[in-house]
Amino acid sequence: MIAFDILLGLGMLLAAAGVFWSADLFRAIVMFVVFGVLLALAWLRLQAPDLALAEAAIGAGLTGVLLLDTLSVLRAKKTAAGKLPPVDQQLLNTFTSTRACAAQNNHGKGHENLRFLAVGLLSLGILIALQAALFMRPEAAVNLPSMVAEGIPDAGIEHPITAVLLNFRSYDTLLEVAVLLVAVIIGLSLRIPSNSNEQQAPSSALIGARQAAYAGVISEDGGNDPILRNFTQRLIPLVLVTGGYILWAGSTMPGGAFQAGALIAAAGVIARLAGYNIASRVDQLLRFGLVLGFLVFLTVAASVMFGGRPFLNYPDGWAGSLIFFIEAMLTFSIGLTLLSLFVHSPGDGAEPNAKSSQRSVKSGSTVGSDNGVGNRPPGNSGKAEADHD
Amino acid sequence: MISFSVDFWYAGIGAALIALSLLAFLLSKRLLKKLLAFNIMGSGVFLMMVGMAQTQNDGAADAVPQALVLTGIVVAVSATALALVVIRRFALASVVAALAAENKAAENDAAENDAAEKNGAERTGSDTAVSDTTVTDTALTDPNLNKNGDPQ
Amino acid sequence: MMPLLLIIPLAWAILCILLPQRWLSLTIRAGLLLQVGAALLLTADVYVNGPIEYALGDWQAPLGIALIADGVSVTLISLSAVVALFVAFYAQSYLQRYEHEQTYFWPLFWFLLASLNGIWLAGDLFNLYVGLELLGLAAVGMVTLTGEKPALHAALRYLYAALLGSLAYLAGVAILYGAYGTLAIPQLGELLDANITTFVAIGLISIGLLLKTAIFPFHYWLPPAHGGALAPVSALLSALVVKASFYILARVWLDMASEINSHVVLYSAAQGLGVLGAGAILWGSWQAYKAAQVKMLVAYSTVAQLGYLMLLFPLAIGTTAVAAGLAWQGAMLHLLAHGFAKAAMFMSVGTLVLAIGHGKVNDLAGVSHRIPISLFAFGLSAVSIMGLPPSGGFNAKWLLLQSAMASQQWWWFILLVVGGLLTAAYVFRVFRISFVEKATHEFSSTSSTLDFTALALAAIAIAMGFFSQWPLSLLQSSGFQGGGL
Repeated sequence: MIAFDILLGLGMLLAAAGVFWSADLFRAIVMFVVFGVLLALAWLRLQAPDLALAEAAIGAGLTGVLLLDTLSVLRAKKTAAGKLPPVDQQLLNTFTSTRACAAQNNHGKGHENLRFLAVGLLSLGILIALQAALFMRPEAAVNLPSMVAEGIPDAGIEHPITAVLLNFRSYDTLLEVAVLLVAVIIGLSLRIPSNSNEQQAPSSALIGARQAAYAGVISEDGGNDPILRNFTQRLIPLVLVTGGYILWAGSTMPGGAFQAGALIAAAGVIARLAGYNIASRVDQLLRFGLVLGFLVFLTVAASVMFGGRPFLNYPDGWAGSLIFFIEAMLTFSIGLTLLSLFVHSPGDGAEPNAKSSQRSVKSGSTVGSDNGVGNRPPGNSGKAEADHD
Repeated sequence: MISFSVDFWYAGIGAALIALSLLAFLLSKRLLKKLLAFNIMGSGVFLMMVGMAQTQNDGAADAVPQALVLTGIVVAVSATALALVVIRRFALASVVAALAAENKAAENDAAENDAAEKNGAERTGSDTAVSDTTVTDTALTDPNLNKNGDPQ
Repeated sequence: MMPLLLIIPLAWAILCILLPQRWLSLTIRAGLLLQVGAALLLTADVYVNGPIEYALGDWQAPLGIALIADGVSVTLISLSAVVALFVAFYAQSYLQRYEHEQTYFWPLFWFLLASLNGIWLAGDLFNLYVGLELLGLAAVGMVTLTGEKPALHAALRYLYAALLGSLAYLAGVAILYGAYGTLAIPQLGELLDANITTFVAIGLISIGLLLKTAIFPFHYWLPPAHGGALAPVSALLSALVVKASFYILARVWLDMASEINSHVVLYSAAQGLGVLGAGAILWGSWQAYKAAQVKMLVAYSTVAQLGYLMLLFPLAIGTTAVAAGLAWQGAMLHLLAHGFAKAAMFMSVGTLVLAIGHGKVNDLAGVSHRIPISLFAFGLSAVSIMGLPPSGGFNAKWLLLQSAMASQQWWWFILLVVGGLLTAAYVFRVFRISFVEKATHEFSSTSSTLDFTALALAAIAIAMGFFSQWPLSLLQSSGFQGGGL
């Protein structure tokens, strides 16, 4: 087995190198998903099946889908925008580092090489430091795994990882769900509604434009493709049932709310790709669904204080059922959250698409001013694109 | 206690992944590439966390770091999704800006058109041409707002 | 009382998502008052009974997570509650012209407060990571609110810096757990041993936190983000958000590692942190002096003022107990005074910018006649930022000077004096222009709420010059090195 571990480890390094060295972003993302699959195998070798499941579903799967989706939208925009002027390209090239910006604009190639050297040395230093920390580690003085084993009988749940997540360290999990919620709130705030009424779903024209971006993945009118629809109709219940099983399994074996939530989101993504307009929700209802898991978690955690118990404690004998209830609500909300981050991303076809130059310019202006996002002048600044290859 | 074990090996791989993706993060100029590097760096940290902890536990599974990593994966996906949302909105704003500029050039002849709106675009456009750091409170340069002072 | 400080903001975040717009105004005010009340009660409790530990879910650390309230944490809790109170009133008025932004500002505001309270009270390293991420994402979200291209640009920079910073932090935490088997800060404090593994872990944690605190030369993301956001957002970011990562840095160096930090490696590193602070003071002040936009001037001023905080490390590590105590008091007082004064400064500048329609420093002429209260608020906060008496800023710098003398580190003494002069230079640049009689601009009228909330915060910063013994006496009940003096 040692040979397998060595191969797997080196394979992960190679896959990571492949991600960084592919000039083509699409290939880089595919390599990233391959990396995720290898990482899932590594988690299995580290006796962490929960992490294998999470990595496959969330780390590689969902992140990969989000990345590919964004790439297709960005590429569609690039065609819409046409050629970009050189100044802004530079601005964009050196996007996140002012020092890089200075290096490129003022000093040219020589300093660029210097930067390579500096960053290379820095990375090498970090590598050596990390390995030294690893090799020279002292013997641990605290044995937390044995404390977990002792605490399990009182935790109301058999599976140690679920016990840590929803009982011993449930405070972390509460904040973690808040992080997800913050991400989706920002996603909602940045979406571009199709018209002034924010509560409406994207119009069918926008969905059409969005689907054009998927050319090559699904046919252009995927929503009406009978084979795809038929296939989806069979696949989605299967995915949902699997999600339910993983949630239920979480109390005794690997599984739990987050992995199950990712599967629910996956079902939604599949449905969306097949053209089902699952985004047509009343805004108020969507918000309620998004916060439901967090609301239930917080309410349970806080209401025990009325009985004189500490925050996040569970009453004796109730821990198991309360945890399962919280997890079920969390699964629903996490699924909806991850799905919303996919469905409500800005730029879903809202860009002027394949119209005559003059017309598209007009609609370009209205995106900025008449959509309820605020009354803004069209185009506030220079022109550039977020990511070009 | 230094001997080869599965946990130790993967912790070492995690360290190598961190260094490799740091290189990519700092050298890459493309936002999506940086985001990929961030995700792989995160995976490296997670491998170190679980691997190193389990070498202390005689190679047996340690539920605590595994649970922490599960939390970390969800936080990482939230951050990634957020970054993608902002990137998309930024790209949209860029395209709109580019098209508006094009529009302005095309309609320069038709002078009677919507002078106020064009002024707005021109003014803010020239602001950013100077420097990308001269960020004004942009909504305030908006001609549609605030002409009549405070709404209260 | 401690969990209430988490429950209130989290619950109000949900309320702000779910409730219809017309109920929000009153709900928010009620929440703010509850929050301030809880903060004051906790402060009184710690003042009377000393540090309190709270085991969440009744699981004792290290298996569970503990909240720890000592003198320092309750001081910071009060700071954030009071600053948030005034910023929120300001924002309620300011955001009336931003209908869309308003909808999303409030949930993020409450999540931001929850994460801040969580960080001030945290007793667990990994929990701090989750808190930092919540704080970082909420802050980035607030910068993106307008959806304008420059703001999005700034937010992306901020986000990428924050993500890299928190991964570096997490790597350090992973190593500490792998080496000692626990995440509880007090327990780690007893166990830490001066060895390579510990040094690497503390190094990674420090780099990550420096990046998040925007300490020179990692400050590049701060000015566009703080200068480009809406005024109430800038106030929150500069007054509170960057302080959170500094606070963790101080916890790690002066509380968790207090037994080993006079080891030569950490001692030299602490001097290095001081050098970064010096760089921040000089570079930040110079950039502030050159800034064309008044909000960028204030943002660069934050870069410079954060530099003073870094002087805590060389002044408190490896020096005498007296010097360490003075440094500790000076740094904490500086943190408080800067928190109040900088929030007031961003708020008053936001009002000025609203009134003249844009933010060029050179167009502030005539402001003194038309918007005197906001300019006065700006002036009061500037007094504290410059360190002129009487103000919290003056007392803070005085304590730092005394500490530099007590530890005979005259180079920090010189730096403090030069830094004060530089600050005066960029502040007077604003004054000189704003007192020009002839207005070159039309002024639009602004609400008086905007004026008076800023004035209140600036007045607190000044008042701290008279009442600085209150927070200082609270500091004595903390686990920090030198805090017991």
